[in-house]
Amino acid sequence: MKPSHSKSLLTIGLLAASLLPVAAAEPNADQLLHQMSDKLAAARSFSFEATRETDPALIEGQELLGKAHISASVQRPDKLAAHATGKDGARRFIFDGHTLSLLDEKMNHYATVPMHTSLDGLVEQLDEKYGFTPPLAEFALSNPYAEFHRQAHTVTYLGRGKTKGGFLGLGGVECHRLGLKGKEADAELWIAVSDLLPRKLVATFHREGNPHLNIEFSTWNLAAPVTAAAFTFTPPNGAEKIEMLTTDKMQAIAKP
Amino acid sequence: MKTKFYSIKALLLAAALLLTASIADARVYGVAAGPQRAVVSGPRGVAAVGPNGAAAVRRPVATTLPAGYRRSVPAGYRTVAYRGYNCRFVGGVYYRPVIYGGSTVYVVVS
Repeated sequence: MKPSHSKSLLTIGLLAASLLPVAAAEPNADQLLHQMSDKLAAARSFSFEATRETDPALIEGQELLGKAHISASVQRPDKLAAHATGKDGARRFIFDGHTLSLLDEKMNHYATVPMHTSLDGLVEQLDEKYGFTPPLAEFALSNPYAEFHRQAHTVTYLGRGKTKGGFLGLGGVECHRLGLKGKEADAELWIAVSDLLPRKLVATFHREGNPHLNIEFSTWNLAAPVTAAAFTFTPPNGAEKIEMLTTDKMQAIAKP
Repeated sequence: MKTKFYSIKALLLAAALLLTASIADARVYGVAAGPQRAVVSGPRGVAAVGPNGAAAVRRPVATTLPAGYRRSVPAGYRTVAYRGYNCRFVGGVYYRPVIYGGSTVYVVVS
């Protein structure tokens, strides 16, 4: 090949390369997860609202409502108030660092148990001793990053997506989509591009029927004004106090 | 001797880590994880197991309450005091309301 030809080819090549769109560097999925978690962990008091849909195959007793609207207020390190409403009724959870109270609003029953611990301790102790956790409590833990990594061994970037929003898709939020692969479930976590807060979590469980869990966050307020009253439980008029059974006691009572 | 000491130490550490993992793995995205802690028995005869119990049994697809528990009480009950508890009484059976798993369920009192 003559030198003049190779020079021309090089020029054409460079020209063509300059016309190609510059591929943007793909965001680092783990870093995004870290940023989201850091933001949640740094918030001293915050509130959120979400809708959670659970396949029946994931329902454990009656703890998880098929479709529930959940609102929660958190004050770190040891206060949580959550309210879950669904087709089967409504439940209120109040934790003040010393006591956990749970009200079944439909039945007007409540139970109170001593719980001198932090939010992390609450989730762990409730799960261990009573076989349930407050709705979406994992987002209130002190280290959500570690929690997500406990549940997922691999985090990958899947691209961008927009949440469906309201009427005609208005109000949809542009999100980073992260793929989380775990032993028990694979999930897609959507983190808003604008504020790096979680907007959606869809998990598919590796068990018969591959049941799904779908959580959509509608509101986040990381500077929520909280008052002590929000974390004080007052039983409604006529409410009946009943026992909260531990898993061990339930098994002991169960008939063979 | 020193090697043996380190081996024992490593084994103890591994055991501690395994124990921690079994507790931490109990819940995934708020849902009880598979075989770690099934506390159910039902028509399919699936038994109950604790986190440190033996004979792990995979959680059935749709969990049910153990025998002796009801999710609701038959209509027409009246509330009466029985054995120190407020119970619902209907059809000659006493049902004691309790909260389990975050919801109200009823223990059949015999």
